[in-house]
Amino acid sequence: MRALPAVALAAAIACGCGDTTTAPQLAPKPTPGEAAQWSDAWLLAQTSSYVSDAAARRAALESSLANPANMYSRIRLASYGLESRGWDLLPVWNPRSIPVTAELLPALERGESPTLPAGQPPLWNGVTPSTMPEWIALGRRVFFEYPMRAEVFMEYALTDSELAAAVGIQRTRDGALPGLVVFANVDGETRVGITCAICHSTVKNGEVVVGQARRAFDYGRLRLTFDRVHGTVRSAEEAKRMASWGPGRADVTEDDDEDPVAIPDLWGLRHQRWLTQAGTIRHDSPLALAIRQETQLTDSNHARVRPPRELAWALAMFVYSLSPPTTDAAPPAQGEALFREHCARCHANAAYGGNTIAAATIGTDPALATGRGRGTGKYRVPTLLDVRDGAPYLHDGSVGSLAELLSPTRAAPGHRAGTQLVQDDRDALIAFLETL
Amino acid sequence: MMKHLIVILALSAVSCDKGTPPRAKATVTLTSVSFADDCGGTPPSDAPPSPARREAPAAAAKERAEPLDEGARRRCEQTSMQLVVVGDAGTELHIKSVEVFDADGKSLGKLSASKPTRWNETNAAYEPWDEKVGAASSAVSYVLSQPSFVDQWDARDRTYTVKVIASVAGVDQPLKTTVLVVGRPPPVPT
Repeated sequence: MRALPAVALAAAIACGCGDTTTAPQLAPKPTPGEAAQWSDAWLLAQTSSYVSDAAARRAALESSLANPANMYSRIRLASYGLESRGWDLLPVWNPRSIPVTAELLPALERGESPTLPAGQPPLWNGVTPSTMPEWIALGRRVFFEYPMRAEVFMEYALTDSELAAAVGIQRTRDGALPGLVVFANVDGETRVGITCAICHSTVKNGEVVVGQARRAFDYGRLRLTFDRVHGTVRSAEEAKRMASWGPGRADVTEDDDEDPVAIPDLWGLRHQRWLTQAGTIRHDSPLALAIRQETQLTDSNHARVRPPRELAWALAMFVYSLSPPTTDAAPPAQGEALFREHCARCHANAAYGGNTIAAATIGTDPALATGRGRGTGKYRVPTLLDVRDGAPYLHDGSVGSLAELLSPTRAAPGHRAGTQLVQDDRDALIAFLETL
Repeated sequence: MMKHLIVILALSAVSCDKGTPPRAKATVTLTSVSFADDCGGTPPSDAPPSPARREAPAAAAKERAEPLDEGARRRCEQTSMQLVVVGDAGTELHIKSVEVFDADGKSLGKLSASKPTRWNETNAAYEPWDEKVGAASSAVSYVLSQPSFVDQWDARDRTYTVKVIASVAGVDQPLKTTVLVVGRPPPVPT
């Protein structure tokens, strides 16, 4: 990762890219002996605040919600970190869950009920990690094995190998299906479930690329195929919307607005001060991410159980550890200069991401930013790490290539930075972006 | 179609200090309520997933009709409520009523509560429960019938209140409610 020089960062702040008036307040500089912010030591020092301090969690939740009035925020403010009521009282679920592997797959393909090995232990052995590598190792297991929910659509797709391949249910070289697990649910049924990895990992050349968006995942097609085969009725409007998503896109918001997003990569989150495409979460401490993940796992399991907080923390540490594939190509000087002049004002942090910018300013489809579900009126400046593999672009995946993104004749609205460049300069800029 | 609203409610049993009130033998706290479908409860299912079928689809089912096959049944997400019960071991608890109100306080009707289960930490599952309070705090869950307004497009993004009357050792306990926030689960909950 190449860090921008300080002058570029200063320029970004001076030019007011994004909404600096609402940017997270910079924490005071650490006193001598204190760990640098966002270092491993600094992250680990906050573990107990998240795991053991309800007041700290509640304060962190309230601080992290960029718009307390949207539905994402309201659900959590009504339920989380209340100690004597709400989700804090839910039973803690440490599930028995195993990845779907080549050994398990044949039975699932025949439509047989999944089974767990006799005596299968729970995912977590109850030992709290004490080092960052231990937290990351546990977090990796959560990422691949903690069920978000039972997924009947996946159970169905596994019985149709053509459909499974067509909707992005991918297999590694050794036959495993990352993102799918067999697990015992909270009602005692053994089911196939999905995990974080179903969207946030992909398989290339037989190997898992952890953290890269699975842009082949066509959840809308999968759901609509299931509905058609089983004769279940969905409203014409909802079916139309699902059909419009396409691979790598889905509607993830709590409202009824039509605002699908592209599955994002998970690169450089340690440097991003806002989470989700609309900057729904102010990422001013690791508690913000851990709470987001804890409440996600609670909400996805219909608020009947909650995960052990140690697992939500481990998941956050794992996500912070993710690094994109790298390239050996040296950054071309011409393109780098163009980037500093035309892009670095917003893509200013060490991950080539940045703060939030008003939806009206960036000019992309405003539905997500202004929606009742997760809207803030703004969009987060995303990371450009591994952008060469990041198509389609913009929060809604409406732009198919970097060339299209910089084209002056592009039809998709918004993000006009770079489109005023002559062709040679656009090519040089793209050549630079492809080295990130 | 899965229609699923998240309702969060906390209720606490309070004792009325008028005259000679009965001693509360158990405290009941409502942890969460989830509006979804009515699958007739969530018994463990031994049926396998449906294999893929390539024939022409059957005629469309009526809305909220019984699912045509096991695959569709497994898609059903049960409306439920979760509570925490703390009290004297052996105290009997029974849910007398569950009533839903809109933001104006108008009753939208009652839901039936059935199939009580209690969380078993060892087995990491909700298991059938005889509605007798245990020695320690118990997390319990009830199946609820599906609210009539769940299918309505314009019933989403509203605030509802759920009031529960729990009978503890044969004595109705007045409960205090708090305002809820309701959302809909997105097509892809993340």
